[in-house]
Amino acid sequence: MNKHVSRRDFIKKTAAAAALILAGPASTVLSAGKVFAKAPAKKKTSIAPVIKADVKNIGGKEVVWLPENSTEYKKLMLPDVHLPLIAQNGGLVPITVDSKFPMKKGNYIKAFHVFNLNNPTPKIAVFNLTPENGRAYISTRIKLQQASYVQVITEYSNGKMYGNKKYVKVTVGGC
Amino acid sequence: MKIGTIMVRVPRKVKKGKIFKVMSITKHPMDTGLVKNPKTGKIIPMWIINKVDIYYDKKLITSCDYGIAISANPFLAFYLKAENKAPLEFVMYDTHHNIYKKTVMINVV
Repeated sequence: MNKHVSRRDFIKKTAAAAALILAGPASTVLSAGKVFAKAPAKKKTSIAPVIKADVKNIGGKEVVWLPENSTEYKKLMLPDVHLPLIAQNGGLVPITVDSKFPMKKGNYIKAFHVFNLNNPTPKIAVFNLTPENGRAYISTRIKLQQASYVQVITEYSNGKMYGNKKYVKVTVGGC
Repeated sequence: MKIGTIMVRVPRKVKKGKIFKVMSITKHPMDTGLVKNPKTGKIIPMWIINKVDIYYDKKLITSCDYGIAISANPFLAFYLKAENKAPLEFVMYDTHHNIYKKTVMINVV
């Protein structure tokens, strides 16, 4: 028996082995690619485009949308809307609306209207507040159908309405 | 736990004039009326809480109108100013004409 392996033979065998090793993962990657290519195609049919329009009118009253860095925006103390950047479960998205506006008698935040135009029913909830609250703060958990803008409209006691919104990514819809 | 049980968390003692947080959670399925039962294939009918009224010292403090997009077992947190020792009452109405109530005392020192 000849135990000695020739140089030529060695190169041939290693090349073949290398080809096998390379081909193995490459083929699996290809098949995985096919699977991933199919799945989003199915999802895309159900996902509607994100609506960027704002709510302009509530109950006959006009809603004003201010740019976020303007002086009036800071003066009105429009609430901060705390939402997760990515919501893993669309059926349970925590939302906190918090404003530092002083709740004095005669000048206070009357209500928060929460909207999402991508949901089956755009109106999510209305929270009515009074000066006895002491602080304009509401925290709940809502359902979101897909990645979209959550719009919070603040109604002041003088009847004026101002809006601000935030974008949320949703991985699994919850409606 | 029975459907409609309201759990409320308030501090044991509050100083007069201070603002404190009230947290509540309600046991409720909050069916939207859009989801199908995977076993039978029939649509689960809508059953949601659509109105919440909160009274403090027999005065309406906060009220909420809910749509279908509030998650199951609705959670609600808000702030309240302590005036005097009085009950805090939660009243919830749902689309099956049930009324759920819960009263807690607020100890103002």
